[in-house]
Amino acid sequence: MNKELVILFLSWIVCLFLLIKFIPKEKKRYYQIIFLFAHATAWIFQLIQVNMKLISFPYREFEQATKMSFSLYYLVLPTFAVFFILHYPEKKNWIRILIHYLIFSNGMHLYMFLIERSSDLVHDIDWHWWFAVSIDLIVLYLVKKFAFWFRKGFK
Amino acid sequence: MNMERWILVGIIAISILAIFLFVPRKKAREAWVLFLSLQIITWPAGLLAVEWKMIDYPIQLFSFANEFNRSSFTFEFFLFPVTAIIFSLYFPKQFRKIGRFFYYFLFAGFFTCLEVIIERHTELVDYQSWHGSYTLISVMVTLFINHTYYNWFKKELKETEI
Repeated sequence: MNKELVILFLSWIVCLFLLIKFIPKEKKRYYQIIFLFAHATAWIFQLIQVNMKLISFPYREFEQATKMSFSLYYLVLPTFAVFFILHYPEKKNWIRILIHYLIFSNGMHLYMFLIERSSDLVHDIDWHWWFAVSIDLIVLYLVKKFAFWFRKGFK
Repeated sequence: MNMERWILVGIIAISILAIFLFVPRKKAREAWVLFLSLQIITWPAGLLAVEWKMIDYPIQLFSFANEFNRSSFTFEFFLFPVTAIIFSLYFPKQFRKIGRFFYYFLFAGFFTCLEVIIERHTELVDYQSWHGSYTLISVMVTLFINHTYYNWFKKELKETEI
C-alpha cells in the first residue's frame, strides 16, 4: 500500500472515530447538518481553487472523473467544521472568538500543509499561507452563520 | 451560445423558480436538510458513474468544466436536489404502499424520461454503458434513502418563520 492510501485510510478512521466519540448524542442532528453544509461549501471552494490553478491533487480517488480530491473535502474539512462549532466560545469576548477562528483555520491548513509535504495527495501550485487561511476563515464563517441560524428551528 | 447550454440555463432557472414556488418559508430548514443530504449521496455516486465510464456529459454549462470535473453540475446540484425537495415536502403520507410506490415511480419516471430525451437529442448526456432503467432505479433508491433520513431528521424540527 502506498503512503497516499495510508494517509487517506488513517484520515477516514480518525475522523469517523472523533465524530462518533465526541458528538453529543442528543444533538446529533445539529452536528450532522453542520457536516453536510460544510461539505457543500468546501466543495464549491475547492472547485474554484482548482479552476484558478491554485492547487492540484496529483493523487486522487477518482482519477478520471475529477481533478479534485474526494476524501479531503468530503470528510476531513467537514469534520474540522463540526469541531469548530462544537467548541465555539459563544459567550466569550471577541478576542477569544478570533483566536478560535485562527486556531481552526490554521489547523485546517496545517493538515493540508503536512500532507502536501509528505505525499502526492496535494500539490501547491501557487499557494500562500495567508490565502489558504483566508479561504478557510470564509468557510468557517459561513458554516457558523448557517449553524446558528439552523439551530433556531430545533424543538 | 448553443442550444445545449440554453437547456442547462433553463433547467437551472426552473429549479430556482421551483424552490420559490414550492418551498414554504416555514419549511426552509427541511428543504436545506433534503438538499444537503442528497448531495452526500449524489456526489460520490455521480463521480463513480463517470469514473467507471458508464456515463459522460460532453457539454457542460461552462466550457472548461470537463477539464476539472466530469460529473454533471446541473443535474446533481440543481435538478435532482430540487426534485428531491419537492418529492419529500409533498409526500402523500396518507397513501398506502402501492400509492407510495406509484409516487416514487412518478418522480423517478419524470426524471428518467427527461434524461432519456436529453440523451437522445442533445450532447448534454451520453450513455456509455448506462441505461435509462439504471436512472429509474437509482433515482428511486436515492429518493428512498433521502426521504428516510429526512423523516428521521424532522422529528426534532419545528416550523418557524425563517
